[in-house]
Amino acid sequence: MTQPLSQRTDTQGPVFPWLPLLVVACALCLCATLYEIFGVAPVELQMGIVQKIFYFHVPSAYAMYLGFTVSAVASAVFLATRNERWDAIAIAGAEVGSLFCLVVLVTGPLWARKAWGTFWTWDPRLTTTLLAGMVFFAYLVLRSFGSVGEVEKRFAAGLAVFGLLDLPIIHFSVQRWRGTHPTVITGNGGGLHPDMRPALFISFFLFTLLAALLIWQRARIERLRQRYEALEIEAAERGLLEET
Amino acid sequence: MFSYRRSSRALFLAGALTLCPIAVAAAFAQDQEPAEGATAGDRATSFKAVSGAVKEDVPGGPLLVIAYGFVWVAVLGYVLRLGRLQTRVEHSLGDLERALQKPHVDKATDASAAVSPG
Repeated sequence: MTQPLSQRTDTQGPVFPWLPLLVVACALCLCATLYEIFGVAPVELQMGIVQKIFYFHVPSAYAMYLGFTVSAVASAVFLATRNERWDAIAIAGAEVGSLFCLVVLVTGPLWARKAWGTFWTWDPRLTTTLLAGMVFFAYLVLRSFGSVGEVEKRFAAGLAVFGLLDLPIIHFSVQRWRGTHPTVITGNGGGLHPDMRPALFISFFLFTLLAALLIWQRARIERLRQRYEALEIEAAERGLLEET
Repeated sequence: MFSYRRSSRALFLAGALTLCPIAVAAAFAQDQEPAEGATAGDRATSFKAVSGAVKEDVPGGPLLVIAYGFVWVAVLGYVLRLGRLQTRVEHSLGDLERALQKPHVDKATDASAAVSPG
């Protein structure tokens, strides 16, 4: 006979004993990043102090790629296996990716105001980044409709899989199309001043760690929520819902 | 049950909704004329350090403060939201688990037995 869901533990979120350690590592990394950005990295010749936005803007874009890729891959696995665990990871990736996409779309225009004289221009990279944000925002809106059924879950998963197609377009847009977005890292120009590199590398590490922690934590909460929904059905079947 | 037909339909619909705006955006981006006299080589390809005192026509300080402030307000806001969500879900889950583990009389069975003529 199948064990009642209320006595099973395989639907609970995983326990991660190193979580406090990683949170402390994240805080230390943040302090090191801020010190490198404001204490060590020099001011840029053309743009001045506003160029320092770059040290958070680029790693945020990287964290956005990470979140959206996790969401799309987990959605593809969910479509193939129907395992709810992957659905939880997909939601977590989409949420964290959207958070960092928002950071990119706010910090970028603030930098552009000084560098280009305008907050926004329909540059290919800006346009395609906005589009990726809209695709995954649509995913989150679709998933936020109360109790989501199987059809909505599958449709949202398909949306996330196709949202992934936009990521290489964002990345290669600066090379394939004419635009004004800098190509300091991906281009063949002079690149970064050597004193600017440590700040960027530590910031990359910080944002990777931060994105991974947030995705893991959000997926864990989603697993708990899935367990709650499953138990609710069990409680309804046993006629207990009026009591809870 | 696993349904390839329904999955394919969902993928097709999602793909159509995603690819159409991408195609429009790509066409729009390609259609953009560069500023007069500008070439693809005009974009920044390197960041160089300033030497001596810093002079700026448009002060970048406020923009920098807003950008950094926004990053940390957004991240901390999201962390707080996760904390609240976790507390709420754990609380509801605990209540439900306690109710399910409590020994009880099956109301549905009782009710059906009560109305049953036999």
